[in-house]
Amino acid sequence: MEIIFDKVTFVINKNTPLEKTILNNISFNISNSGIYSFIGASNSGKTAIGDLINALVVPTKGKVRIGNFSNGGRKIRNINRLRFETGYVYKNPYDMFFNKTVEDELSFGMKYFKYKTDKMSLRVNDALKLVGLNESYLELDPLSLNLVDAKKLALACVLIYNPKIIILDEYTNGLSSNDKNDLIRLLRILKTKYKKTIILLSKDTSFCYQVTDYVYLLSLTRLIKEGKKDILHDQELLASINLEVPKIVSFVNECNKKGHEINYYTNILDLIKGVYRDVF
Amino acid sequence: MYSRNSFGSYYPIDSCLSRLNPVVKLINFLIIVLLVIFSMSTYVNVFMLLLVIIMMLLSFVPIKYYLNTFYSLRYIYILIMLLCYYFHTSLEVCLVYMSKVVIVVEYLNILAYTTSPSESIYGIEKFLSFFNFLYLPISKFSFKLNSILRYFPLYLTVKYKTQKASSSRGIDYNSLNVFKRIYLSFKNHKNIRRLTKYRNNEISKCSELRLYDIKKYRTNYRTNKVGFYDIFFLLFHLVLLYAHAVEGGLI
Amino acid sequence: MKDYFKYRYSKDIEFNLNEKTHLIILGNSSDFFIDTLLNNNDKSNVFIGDVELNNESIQTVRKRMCVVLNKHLNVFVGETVKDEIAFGLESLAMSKNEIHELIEVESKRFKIDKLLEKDPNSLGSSDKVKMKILSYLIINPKILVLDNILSELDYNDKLLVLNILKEYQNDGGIIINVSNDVEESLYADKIIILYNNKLVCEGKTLSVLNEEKLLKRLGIGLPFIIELNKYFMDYGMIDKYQLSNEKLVGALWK
Repeated sequence: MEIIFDKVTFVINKNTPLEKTILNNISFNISNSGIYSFIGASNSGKTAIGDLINALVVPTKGKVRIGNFSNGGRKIRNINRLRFETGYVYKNPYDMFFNKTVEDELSFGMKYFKYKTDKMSLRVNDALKLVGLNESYLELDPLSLNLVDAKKLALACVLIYNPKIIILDEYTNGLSSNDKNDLIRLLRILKTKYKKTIILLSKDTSFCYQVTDYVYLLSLTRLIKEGKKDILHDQELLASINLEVPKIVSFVNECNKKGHEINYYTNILDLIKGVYRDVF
Repeated sequence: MYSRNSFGSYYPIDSCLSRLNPVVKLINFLIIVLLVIFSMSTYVNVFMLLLVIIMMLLSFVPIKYYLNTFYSLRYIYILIMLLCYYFHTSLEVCLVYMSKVVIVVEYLNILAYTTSPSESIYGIEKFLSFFNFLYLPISKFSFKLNSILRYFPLYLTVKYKTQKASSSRGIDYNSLNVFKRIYLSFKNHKNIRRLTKYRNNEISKCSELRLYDIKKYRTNYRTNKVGFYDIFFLLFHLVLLYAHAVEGGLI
Repeated sequence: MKDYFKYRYSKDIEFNLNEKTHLIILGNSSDFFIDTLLNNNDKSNVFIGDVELNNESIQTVRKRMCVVLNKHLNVFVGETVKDEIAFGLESLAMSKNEIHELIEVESKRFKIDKLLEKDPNSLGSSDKVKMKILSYLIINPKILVLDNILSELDYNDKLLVLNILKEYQNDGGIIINVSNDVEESLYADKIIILYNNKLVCEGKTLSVLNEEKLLKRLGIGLPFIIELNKYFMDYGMIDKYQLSNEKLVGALWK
């Protein structure tokens, strides 16, 4: 599914003293399936991009096109179809929960989207296994879970109705390294086997460097640069917009500065092999 | 959460009303409540209405916030007019009742917009400390009062968040008609009450973690001492009380 | 002072901390540990200085040990940022002028002095974390416990907050950072690993990070630069730990 942002500006609380510009003249075009990252420091408008794609808010100027739907001021017909195709995992997973048990929470999306409701319990268990939880969580209160379990449950609630576009908002903050590796595996399967479009909104450059195909850099409401992974090699640019250079990239930059030509690998084992070859 | 300033939240602007001492504000409010309950004289009620309008202007809060509440009470005015017609009361008395409603609601709004919640709790605590001889558990009482006062705005916030969360997964409130919206509000009421109670508990726990000595007193960094404007407004309210006493034949 | 903080939980967990320590706790039992610090538990004994944590002393303990929770990152007790920070100082019954001066000085240090009159809901996540840490650090506790919040900071803010925490540590404070991000262990002096509510490993940073197999089995992993060092040492390219990029490159190609 295509996502096109056409000169979108988003301002909240207009004509009051609390007025704030969240996005200023953003345009981009996503057409193929793959993993796209929007990287920026906090307060740069990343969450608003997710809200606009899921049609939870309306842009002040400009238009957003998602497949055949257009979000730009006029009322969207059949908006539930749009929400069915775009799954949005909020930054604070507890904001997504409003049912009494985990089981109700998971089956909510399927019930109201009327999606394969005959095999509900089977799909509920499958969704839990996909993110790394198990059946013992079914009777718990979602608000009583700890942060990591709540994040996994939020992802399961979105994956259960099989949307074409998946938006993850600051998902990797607070995950342990095992969970991050599981997530990388899951995202790669979703991309290659099921041909989904995955949008990562994050400030964790080291994680995004390992999975992403294409990168958009946001800073203070504007889209500064877009390109493939190599724009994350530029140390001055990232320092000026308050982002950390990915750790692999800073090591390779240091090697290159001292005159030893090493390629920019994404995997640590390939990097070790490359360095070994150069040393000996 | 993009929109704030629903019914009765603090509007951060510096005006002569926001610098008043909260204990004096509370005493003024109690005088107004007494007059609204007991006074049926046209003059006293008209002057109270004038006082409220002047205070609304002096508070520097945009008028449209006050007019929002005024507009949302339109059904109550219609109800009062129907009741007055049914009981064959005169037009003057009917207008007096309507102005009483406006006075109470807008005065509460003025207090809410110009007093920060921490200051109002501090004011109530100080006021109740005059009754210390009754040995009431004042700080626990004000703590509980704080959570009650928070309940209604919190309910609206939770309702907004639940609507947003459920619209991401299948129920879009904005595209439903009025009857379905009312039906869904009733259906979700129990759920939203549970969530509001949970959130209220979280805020209480968070503030409890930072009440280091519950037995001693707490200060407030916003409160000013009693000054010229306090005496001025207090005198105005006392004059109204005196006028009611004269009119009612007590003096 | 020797052994200012003593923690015991039945027979499974037992450790002591001196002043001027920065401890990081890894593993999957973080909320269990925080829960025993906040509420009185039958099986746990926590000593802070000379005071034991129980139902009567809980207010004194909270003045000495402040816990900054991740769950409360979006829960605010005041309508503006300044109210939020001043809440703790008001509870200590400080006078109005002292509160104003103290907040002015400290908020400049944390670089949030321009945000003092804003609504806390409208701040970005990095500023929220700074505000929360400031509102606990401003009452000068002896122990500061951080629950999984340093990962929400932007890069420059993280360096700023770590600097401030280092000054706090040198002044005699104890920092306990309960985290899932193993990269933060490079800033700590001591590591404790709690897994399934049991103490698995305790010791200085580099000696615990040496236990590569244990950390991988528990799902914790290693910081990037330590992992590079480990691989290079296995292949015989370097012979001891080099903790910064420049030193590592210098040692590889001598």
